[in-house]
Amino acid sequence: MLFNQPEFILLFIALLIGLAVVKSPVLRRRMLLAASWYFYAYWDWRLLGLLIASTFVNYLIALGIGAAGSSVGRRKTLLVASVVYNLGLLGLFKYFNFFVESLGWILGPLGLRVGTLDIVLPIGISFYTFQAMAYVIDVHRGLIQPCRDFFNFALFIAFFPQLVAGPIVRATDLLPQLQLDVRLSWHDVFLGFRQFTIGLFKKLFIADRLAGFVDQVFANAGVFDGASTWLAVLAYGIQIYCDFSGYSDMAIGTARIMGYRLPENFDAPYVSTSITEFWRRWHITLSSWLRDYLYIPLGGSRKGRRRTYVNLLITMVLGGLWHGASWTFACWGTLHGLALAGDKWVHARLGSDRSCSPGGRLFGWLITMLIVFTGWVFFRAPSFHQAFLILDRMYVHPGGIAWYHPFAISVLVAMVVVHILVAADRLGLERLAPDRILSPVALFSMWWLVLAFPPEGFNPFVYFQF
Amino acid sequence: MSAATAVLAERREPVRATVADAVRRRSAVFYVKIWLGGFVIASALAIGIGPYFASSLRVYEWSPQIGDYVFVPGYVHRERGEGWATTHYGQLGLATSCPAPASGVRTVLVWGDSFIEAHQVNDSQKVAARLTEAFADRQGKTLQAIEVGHSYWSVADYYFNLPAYEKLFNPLCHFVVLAEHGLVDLCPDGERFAAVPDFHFVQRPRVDPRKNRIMQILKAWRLEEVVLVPWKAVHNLARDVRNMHVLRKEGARGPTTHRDELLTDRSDSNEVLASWAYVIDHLKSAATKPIVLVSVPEVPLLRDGHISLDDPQAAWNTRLASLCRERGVGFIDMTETLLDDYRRSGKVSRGFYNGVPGRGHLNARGHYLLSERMAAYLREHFADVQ
Repeated sequence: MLFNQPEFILLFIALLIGLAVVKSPVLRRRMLLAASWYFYAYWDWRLLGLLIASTFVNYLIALGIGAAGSSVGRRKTLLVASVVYNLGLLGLFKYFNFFVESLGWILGPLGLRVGTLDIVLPIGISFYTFQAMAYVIDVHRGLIQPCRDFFNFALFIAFFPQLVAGPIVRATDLLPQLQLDVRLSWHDVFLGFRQFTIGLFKKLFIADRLAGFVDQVFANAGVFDGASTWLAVLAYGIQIYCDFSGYSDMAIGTARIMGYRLPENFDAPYVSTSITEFWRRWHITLSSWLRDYLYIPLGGSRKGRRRTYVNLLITMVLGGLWHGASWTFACWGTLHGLALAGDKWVHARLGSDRSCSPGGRLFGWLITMLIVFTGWVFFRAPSFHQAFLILDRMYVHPGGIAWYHPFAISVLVAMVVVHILVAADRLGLERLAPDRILSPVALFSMWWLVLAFPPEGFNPFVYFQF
Repeated sequence: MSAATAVLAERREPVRATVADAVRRRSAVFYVKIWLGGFVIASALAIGIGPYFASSLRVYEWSPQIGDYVFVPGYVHRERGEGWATTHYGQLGLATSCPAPASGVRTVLVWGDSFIEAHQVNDSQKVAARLTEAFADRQGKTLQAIEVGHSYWSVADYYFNLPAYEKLFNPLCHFVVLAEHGLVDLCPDGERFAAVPDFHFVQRPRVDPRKNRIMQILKAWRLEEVVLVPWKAVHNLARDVRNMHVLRKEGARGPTTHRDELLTDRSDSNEVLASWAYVIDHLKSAATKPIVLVSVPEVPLLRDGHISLDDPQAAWNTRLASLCRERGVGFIDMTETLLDDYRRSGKVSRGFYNGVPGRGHLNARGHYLLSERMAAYLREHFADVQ
């Protein structure tokens, strides 16, 4: 069930009433778990079994690691079992057909054919698998004690605000909160409502309305002229930011209304003056996950400069593939990996002084945005053919039909203004305090806009497919 | 303090302190006032900007002369969803750009659905205004084109309304414009009509009288702009709630290709031809003046990654032309006109910047091309109209 569906709002209000009425903390947590499973099963109840199975296996493995004490071999074996299980699950449901089809390109000319599986990608599998895997690794590292209460652990994995599209929450952050007697409070309700409203506005009023324009230009790549194509690519950058950060805001807001804190996932990524800074601001929970559970175990920057670049590249290619089983995502990851390695190289050669001057910062911002928005072409295009058609219109042959969508232009201008204000530290959430009239004016205005000017059709969150 | 409590305490304290301080400073009454006041201001802002960005709510009245609902005199329609235009209405629900003609001025009637209602373009850009302009000389109008177009109308509606309009305006001829996708609008109810062995027209009300009554009251009180945003919000919310079970079954990145099916893809060709013959015969029986069907195919069309210059229904267009010839009905095929214009100018005759170029309703260019062909037809077939 999606946050922007009316049934979610209705059921969430019912759940809140339940949480307010029921006094027993244990019972409240069970209610939360039941609601989480219900929201997940609402999409397709058969996949709930997979979620519960994954929860159970990781729960048992973590208990096993805890019970193994100082037996290094046994702990390691269990850790490997967990990694194999989780990656195997991802591999089967998300990557099997992709690799088989890729293999088919090689084996096809030899007369060999390998069949694909007719399976559906379980929603949120990339998110909950990473979350479960990180939990087992943290238990193995001794950062957290294994959770003994299965239902608490199940709630940690299935906690509905962040189950299907993140933020990817660490066990060290969420499990302790789930073991506490968290009660509803007005200040949490206000802060959660505020963040939820902002997220809903980003998703429904901006992202979904941009989607109509962006989808058409990408589906008809090569038809529209260079300026229109540039506009669509910039609009897609805004769309995916508003879509995903909107989802994260709604997730964080929903959890906050119930008294739980989830980590922030975005921090104005388009003000970044380097690609390294961009990844500190974009999908923060994924980039920190990749850093802690992939980049650092690969050796990070501890094994020399050349190895650092290779590690960055590997991390980003795999990060790209995490987003989707397609070579276009791998290409997107490679582009970012190369850019990160390049940024490290420039940093090592020129030192950090280059970024201090306003001119240097502006230059860095321009280069960063050029890389990021060119990267979005591979991220969004369903095939290399379409991606190159788009790039051709952007950089080489700009002829075609003009389509300067007024809403896309308006949003683009508004985003520039917002980002200038953010960069100047003049636009913070503290301005929307509960005792300032600006809060209800801004929040209710957003609701009016969302309700009176809905997008055409129904657009699920972009990150649901990941 | 346990680890968990520490996590919560560490994370919550700054925010809790701020909010708690604020709460301590202010009473509950203060918050109620602030939030109610904020709601009122936000609502006023939404109501204030609404008329600029939202399309108008339609207000009709019953016309005894025509025997159907028409836009109330003085109604102004703003279109914001597709295109950005304003249409003004006068007596008998006629756009003020093509009012009831002065005596002595000859008329033609242009029938159609939303393509002829044409809320997407301004008054002066609509086909009827263009056609009238084409016959204007220094002394003034020599011919007045009157558009009789309403959203969702089909040939059945033309059949029922033709006698009344003919009596009122005594036109030289009737242009019946078929611009909807796939010639569907030639048959009321599309393929269902074509699949029924004994075709029949059923007159159905186009306007919900209860809703229209509310709109009339709001207009009388000059409140239609005030309620615009709340009305749309409630309407959208009610629709979402009604469709709750549907929403969860959808799930794709968005529209990627042109998926509409064509009428002729789905129906038996003999049935389609029979239904068209039935429709043409009925139109002829209802009218005393010549009927001219105007086929406006979807070319050039933005389809699957390119601008298509092929009309997938070209063969059907030819059959329709033959059928019209056999039954003594005029026929204008816009295919070549639209294609020539695209080849010459590189511009498409359908679609808008805030819609999709190449798809949807006719834009100002499309209306102009249509009027040019109609004018040429009139000059060719009516000796006294030059």
